[in-house]
Amino acid sequence: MTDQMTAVPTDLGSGAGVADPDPDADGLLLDGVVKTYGGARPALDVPRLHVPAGSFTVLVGPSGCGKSTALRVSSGLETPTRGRVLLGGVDVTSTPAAGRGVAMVFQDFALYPHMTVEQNVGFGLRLEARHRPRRGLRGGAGPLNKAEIRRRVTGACELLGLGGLLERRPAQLSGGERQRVGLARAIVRRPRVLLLDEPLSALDAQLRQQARAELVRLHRELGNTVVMVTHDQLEALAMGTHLIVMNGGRVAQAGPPTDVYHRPADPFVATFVGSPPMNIAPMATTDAGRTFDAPGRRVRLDHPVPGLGASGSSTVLLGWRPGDGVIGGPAEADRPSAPGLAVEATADVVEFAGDAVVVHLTGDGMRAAVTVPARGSWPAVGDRVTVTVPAERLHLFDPADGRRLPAVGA
Amino acid sequence: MTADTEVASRAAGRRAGGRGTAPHRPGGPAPRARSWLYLGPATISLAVWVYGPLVFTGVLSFLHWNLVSDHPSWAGLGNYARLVDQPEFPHAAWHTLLYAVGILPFATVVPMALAIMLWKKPGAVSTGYRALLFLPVVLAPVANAIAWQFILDPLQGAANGLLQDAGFGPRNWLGDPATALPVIVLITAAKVVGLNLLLFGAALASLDRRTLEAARLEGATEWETTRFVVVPQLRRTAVLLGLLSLVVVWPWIFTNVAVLTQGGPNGATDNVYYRLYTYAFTFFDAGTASAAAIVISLAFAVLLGAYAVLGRRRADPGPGSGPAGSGPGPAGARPERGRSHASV
Repeated sequence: MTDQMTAVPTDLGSGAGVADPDPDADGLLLDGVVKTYGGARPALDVPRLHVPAGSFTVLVGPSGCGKSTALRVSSGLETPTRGRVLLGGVDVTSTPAAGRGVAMVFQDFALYPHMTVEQNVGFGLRLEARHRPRRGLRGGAGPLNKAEIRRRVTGACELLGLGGLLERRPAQLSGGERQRVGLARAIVRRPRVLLLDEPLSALDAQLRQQARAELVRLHRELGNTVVMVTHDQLEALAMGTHLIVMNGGRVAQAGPPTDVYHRPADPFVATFVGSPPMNIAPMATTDAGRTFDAPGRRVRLDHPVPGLGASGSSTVLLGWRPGDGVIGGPAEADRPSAPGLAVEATADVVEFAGDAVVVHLTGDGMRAAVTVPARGSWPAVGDRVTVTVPAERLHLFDPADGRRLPAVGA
Repeated sequence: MTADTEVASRAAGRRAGGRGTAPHRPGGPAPRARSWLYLGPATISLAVWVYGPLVFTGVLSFLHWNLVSDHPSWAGLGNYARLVDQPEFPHAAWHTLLYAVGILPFATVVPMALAIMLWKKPGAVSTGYRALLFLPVVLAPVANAIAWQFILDPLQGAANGLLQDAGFGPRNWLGDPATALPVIVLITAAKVVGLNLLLFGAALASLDRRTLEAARLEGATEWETTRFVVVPQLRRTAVLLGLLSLVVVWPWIFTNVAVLTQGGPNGATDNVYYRLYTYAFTFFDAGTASAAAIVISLAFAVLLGAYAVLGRRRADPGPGSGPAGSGPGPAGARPERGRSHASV
């Protein structure tokens, strides 16, 4: 069954229109898509949202950021107010949902409560057989008769470990089993793109960990394109091969998770991705971007920040990840050290989290968090500490438009 | 009533005394007695208004009594025999069945279809329609019936006026044995449809709309979505409402019959309820009327009992039960599966 699933059917796209020569357009592309629900601000406004073919793409953002709308527009459940939806380079904007070769797993799985697992999974295939009784299956694997439907339903169910549950109703299943039925129902029709709308949010914490790994493994086995929506940035970082961070109906940043994490495009992405969030505070420069000062904090750089003078601004938003800070004693503040940031502050709250310890600091009108490995020592509440961050780990943003300023260390 | 209370307190005393450990709050009655105090009002009112009359009716059905005489005489099973021997009651029973069969679609299929249509297009128009369709339910029954009398009047009625304009001859809708019962059914159906529309709407409100989207993504047409996803989820509601309607519709039918036809013409609109009323308050034959009442009650007891048994057998086993297919679990689920396989 598994090898059959990996054979991604392509005939659906080739017949429907002329292929776009742009290789980037492979996969799923929302081209200039705007979706308005009557409000003043569009729910979705993306000049270009691209999901690479074969990727596990995660759309992540706070609630109301347009990620679910993007998914629904891709599925065909919603038609965009403006713009085009391209699948494999073919314009499917006006193709009905069922004809796009996409399948979706809903947040609460939306299983048909009156059908058994087997009927739930086979419903789409039975409909297809009903609509096209004489035509073969997509992918050309023989006629879609009862035996073939049964074979494929059994195959999909076994792939997801539902073999013994075929006769059960959704009400008789646990949350994890329901999720897997939703998945089986989605993959049994061999979609080119599998859309997952917060598929893990209905599961309890322990099950979620396990389901995460199962989803990633399933993607590897099937090899098709997966688009998942989540508001959980840790889930997004852990699962995605491609990350699209959304905010206010727009794409804030797209790229591999490591890129997004290490080179966030603006303060929103910087604070949204990562836990605890990046520490960001404004700092003013006195000598054209070579040193920055704020009460209790000082940054010294080898080279001035390029472009800082050009924008006519003398302040920057300075960010650093809690994990990049190194805690030293209070004396280190006065000692001249390598280029970077030095912060003097008091340990306010200390959270032990097993492998690591999160130390929340308060200083002169500022707050910050720093993560230290739990194997070493960590400050006690009330201790004065100095935190240093090397220059190449600092993130600078333009306070006017939030633009990321060129790398500090490089 | 005094007997009731006496029995209750004696029972309470016996149990409390028997255990000897019942906690007794000082200054208050014993717990057992207190619980009877709470249950008292409901028990007494049930006894007076439901069980008492039922027993009284049962006793009456074995007596000859004209409602006023001080000396009812023993009839044995004579009243029941009369119900069977004389043609009126079997005739009325047969017509009652016709009423039931006639009302059933208006209790199930029609309001379900209307409710689904209104549900699919939510909005102000849909809400307005729902209110209009519900309106007949709240109209005063007798006034409503009299209004229909005017409309259906063979000479001056609006119904014939409209039909004549359309080129059909006038008919005596309520005077013709062929049309009288269907007309009563239709007039009553307006109320049944309005009420059940509301209840189907409530059932639809709890239905997960995402299952419709899932079906759409799987290629189901609008009709297939309705037929294979929405309607099956309303099946239980439809069965329950069908049954409930057959229990509660009779007062409405009775009013329409009493005002419009008095069971006529030639018994065409007669039914067991109207017959019972005639026995009691036209012929002052309390015994036969009581016998009829007991027979009707028993018939409904059988109907509801059958529903309860069927409903229990259909109910899904809990999540803790063994894998379906190996155990005796979902016996009722099997044929359903066969059906949807065959239909999709």
